Amino acid sequence: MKSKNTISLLFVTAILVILLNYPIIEIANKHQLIYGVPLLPIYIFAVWILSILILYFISNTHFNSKNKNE
Amino acid sequence: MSKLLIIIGLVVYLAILFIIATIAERRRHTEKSLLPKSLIYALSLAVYCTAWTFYGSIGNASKTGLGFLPVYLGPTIFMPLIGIVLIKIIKICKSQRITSIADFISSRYGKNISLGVIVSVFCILGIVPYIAIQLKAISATVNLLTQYADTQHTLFTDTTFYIAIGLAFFIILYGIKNIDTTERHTGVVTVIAFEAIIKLIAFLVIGIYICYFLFNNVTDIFSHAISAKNLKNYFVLHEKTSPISWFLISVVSGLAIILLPRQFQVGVVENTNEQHVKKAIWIFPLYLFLINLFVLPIAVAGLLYFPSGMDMDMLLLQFPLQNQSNILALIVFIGGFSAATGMVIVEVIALTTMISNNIIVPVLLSSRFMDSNKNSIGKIILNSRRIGVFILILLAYLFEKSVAEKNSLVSIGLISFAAVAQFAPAVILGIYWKMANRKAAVSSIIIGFSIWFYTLVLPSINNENVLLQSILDHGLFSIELLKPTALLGLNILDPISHGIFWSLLFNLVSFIFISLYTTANEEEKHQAILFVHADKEEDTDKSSIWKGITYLKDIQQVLNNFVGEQRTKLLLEGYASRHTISLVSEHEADARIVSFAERVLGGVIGSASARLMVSSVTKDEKISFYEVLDIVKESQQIIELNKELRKKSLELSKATNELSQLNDQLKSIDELKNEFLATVTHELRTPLTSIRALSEIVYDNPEMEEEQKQEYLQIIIKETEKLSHLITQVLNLEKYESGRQKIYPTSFDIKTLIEEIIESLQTLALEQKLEIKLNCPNSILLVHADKDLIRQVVYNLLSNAIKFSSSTIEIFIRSTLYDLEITVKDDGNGIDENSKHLLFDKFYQSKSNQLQKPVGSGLGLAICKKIIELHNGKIRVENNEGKGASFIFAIPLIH
Repeated sequence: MKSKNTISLLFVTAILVILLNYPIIEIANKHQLIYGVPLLPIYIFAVWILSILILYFISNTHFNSKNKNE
Repeated sequence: MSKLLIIIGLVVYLAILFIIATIAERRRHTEKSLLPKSLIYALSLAVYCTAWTFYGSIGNASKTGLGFLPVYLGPTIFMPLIGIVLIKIIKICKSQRITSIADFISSRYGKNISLGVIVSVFCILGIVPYIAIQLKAISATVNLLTQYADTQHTLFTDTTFYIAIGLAFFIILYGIKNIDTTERHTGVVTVIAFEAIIKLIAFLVIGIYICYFLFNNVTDIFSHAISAKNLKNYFVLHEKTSPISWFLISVVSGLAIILLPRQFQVGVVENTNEQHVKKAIWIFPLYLFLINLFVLPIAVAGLLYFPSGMDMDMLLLQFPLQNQSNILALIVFIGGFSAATGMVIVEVIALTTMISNNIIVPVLLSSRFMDSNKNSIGKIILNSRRIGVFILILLAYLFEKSVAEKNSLVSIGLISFAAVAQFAPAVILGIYWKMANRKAAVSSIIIGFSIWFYTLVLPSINNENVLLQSILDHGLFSIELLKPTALLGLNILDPISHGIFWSLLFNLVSFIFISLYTTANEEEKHQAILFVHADKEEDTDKSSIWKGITYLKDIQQVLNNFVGEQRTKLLLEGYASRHTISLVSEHEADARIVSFAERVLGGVIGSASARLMVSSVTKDEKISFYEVLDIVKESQQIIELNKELRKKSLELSKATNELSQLNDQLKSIDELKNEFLATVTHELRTPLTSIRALSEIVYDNPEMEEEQKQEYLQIIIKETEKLSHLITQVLNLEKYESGRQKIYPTSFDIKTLIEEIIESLQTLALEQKLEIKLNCPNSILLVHADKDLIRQVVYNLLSNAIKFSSSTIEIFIRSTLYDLEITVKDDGNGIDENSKHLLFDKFYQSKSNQLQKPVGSGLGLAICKKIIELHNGKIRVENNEGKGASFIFAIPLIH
C-alpha cells in the first residue's frame, strides 16, 4: 500500500476514534428528536455512513492509481 | 409451527449450502466465480456477525439501549487501521505459509512449539463457549418454533444434536478435505459469503416487517416509545455505558476482527489477493451498518409490543410467531441459523487446524509413533483433524447443554473477544517491533489470560459453590483488593470492561517490559526480521539458511508423506524450474529447495512442526545467527589482516631497500677488503722478498766478505722491523675498524706532549737537515683525550712531514672556545688536488707523484683519521699557498 494511502487510512481511523467516542458523542447525547428520530442514533449512523463513503473513495482512488501504474 | 416444516426448511437450506460449496469448488480454478472474489472476501468477513449479533444485539439493546453498538462501531472505527495490519499479516502468512493465529504467533517468536500450544489451548478455552452459544441459539429457536418444552428431551430427540452432527459432516467434507491447510476452502468461503447475504436479508426483511407493517414507520416507534412508555433513556447513553467501557469494547471488537480464529481464517488464510482487503475496508463497515440499522427500533418495538419480563433475545422470532406469519418466522430462523452455522463452520475449521498443527502433529513427530507409520502420516493427520472436528463440536454441544443454556448470549461473546484480545500485543507489536521476543509473548499471554479468567470467567459462572462465592464476594484469600470484579479496588467499571481493562493493561505492560529487558535467541531474531520487514522482503528464499547436508531424496520422501507424490513432484519441479535449480535425487538438495519444502510443510503441519520435520532429515542443524555473525566477523578480521599485511609488506619493501643499500655497501666494503688484502700481501711480500733474497745470498756464499755480510744482515733486520711495524699497524687499524679500540681519556698539556714528540724526532730531522718550529700560545693547553693515541697521531703527522719536507716544518697549536686545532705544515711538493680525498684511505701512498720507493706502510694516515674520529674530531689536508701541505686536525676540548 502506498504510504499516502496508509497515512490517510490512519488519519480516518484517528478521526473516527474521536468522533465516535467520548467526549464528542456526549454533544449528541441529548433527549432530542430530529425528524422523529433521536439525535444520538442519527449522529452515530450519520458518521458511520460518512466514514463508509470516505473509505469507499480512498480504496477506489487507490485502485485507480494502481491500475494506471500497471 | 410444525417440526416437519422446520426440518424441510433446514434440509433445503443445507442442500443449498452443499450445492453452493460444490459449485464453488468446481469453479475454483476458473475465473468464473459465483460472485466477484473481492465481494466474497468482504462478505466472508461478516462471519463476525453470529447468532449473537442476529438475536443477541436486540436482546442487548432492549436492556441497554445504544450500549450494543460498540461491538459494531469498533470494527468500523478501526477498519482502516485493520486494513493496513491485515495486508501485512497476509503478506507474512503467504510467504511463511501460516494457517492459524497460533501458528502465526509461534512462528513469529522463533517457531516455538510451546507458544503454539499455549495459544491453541487458550483459543479453545476462549472460543468453545462461543461456539456453544451458537448451538444454543439454534436449539432455542428450534424449541421456540416448535413450542417444545426443553425440559425432558434426550440426546436423540434433540434437534440441536443432529444439526451439530450435520455441521460436523459439512466441515469434514468441505473444510478438512486436504491436508495442506494453505489450500483454500473456496467452497466453504463461498458458503460463508452466501450465509452472510442470507442473514442480512433475513434481518432487513424482519426489520422492515416490524417497522413498517406492525408499526407505521420508525419515527412512529420512537414517538410511541417516548410518549407511551417513557423509554427515552434508550436513545441516550447513561451510566450503564460508561465512556471507558464504550471505548474499551470498541477496541476489543476491532481487535477481534483480526484475532478471532475464524476472522483470521477468512481474513488472512482464505485471502487470495491482498487487493481484496482494499474493497473490504468499506464493504464490511457497510454490512455492519445495514445489519445494525433496525436493531434499536426493533428492540424498542419489542418493549412496546410485548409484556415486560419475556426473553428479549428471541424478540425477532416472537414478532412473526405472534402474528401467525410462519414464512417470516422461517426466514428469521434461517437467517439466525445461517449466522450460527457460518460461525461454527469457520471457527471449527480454524480451531482444528490450530490444534492439529500446534498440538497433535508435534506430539506425533516427537513420539516414536511416527517412525513406524512414516508413510501414512498424512492420512493420520487428516484423520486426527476429522476426529478433532467432532470433538470440538461435541465439546461445544456439552458446554451448551451444561452452562450456556443458563446464560445470556451477549456476555459469552464479549468474554471470547476479551480472550483473543490477549494475543494483540504479541501479534500487532510482533509485526512492527523487532525487539518483541518469545519470553515476552509467553508471559504476557499467560498473564493476560490469567487475569481474563479471574476477572471475566469466574464471575460469569453460575454456581453455588461456597469457595467460588467467597472469592467473588471477598476476593482470593479474602483479600478485598483481589476481588474479581473490583481488582485493586477499581469498582467504577462494569464487569466486562473491568476485566478487559486489567487483563490488557497487565498483558501489554509485561509484554513491553520483558521485551525490553530480555534478549531473543537467533531463531527469534531471524523470524522477527522476516515478520517486521515483510512488506519490504520479497524474496523468501533467503528467509531460511540451512546448513549441513540434506539429500533431495529425503526432502522428497518427507513431502510425499504429507502432500502426496504427485503434488510433491509438481511443487518441486515447479519451484526448481522457476529458480533454475537442478533436481537430481542423489544429490544434496539446494538450500532454497530445503527452505521451500519447509514452507510447504509449514502449510500442512504448522511452521514449528515443519522445522522439526526438516531438521530431522538434515544432517546438520540449522545455521545459527551467531555462526553467521562469526562468518561476518571472520571476514572483517581478514580485511583487518589484509590491511596489516599491506602495511607489513610496505615495511618489508622499505627494509629490502635498506638491505639492498646495505648489501651494496657490504659489496663495496668487501671489495675494499679484497683490495686491502691484496695490498697487505703485496706490502708484506716486498720486504719478505728482499729478506729472503739477501739471506739466500748470505747462505749460498759462505765465503762472502764479512763487511758485505754485515751490510746484508742489517738490511734484513731493517726489513724485518718494517714487517713487524706493518703487522702492528694492520692489527691496529683492524682494531679501530672493528670498533674494539677504546679510548682512555686523561687531561694533559698538549704543548708538553708535542714538545716531547719533537724532541724524539729531532735526530731524524737533523739527519734530513730539517728545522722544526713550534708556534703556540705560552699558556698551558689542557686537553681531555687519550694521550697515547694523540701522541701517535702527532708522531705520524710529524714523521710524514719529515719524510716529505725540504727545509722547515712548522707546528701550530690554536685553541678556540670549543676545540683545539693542530697544524703540521711542511714545505714539500704538496698534494695532488685529485688524490686529496684518497689520502686518508688505507695503503694510499702518494706513488704517482713520487718516483722513489714509497716510504712507510700507507696505513699511518688511515689510523690517524680513525683516532681523530674516535675523539669526535676532524682531520684534513690543505695545500699551502706557496709550497708544501698542511695536515690539520681538531679535537673538541671537552668530550
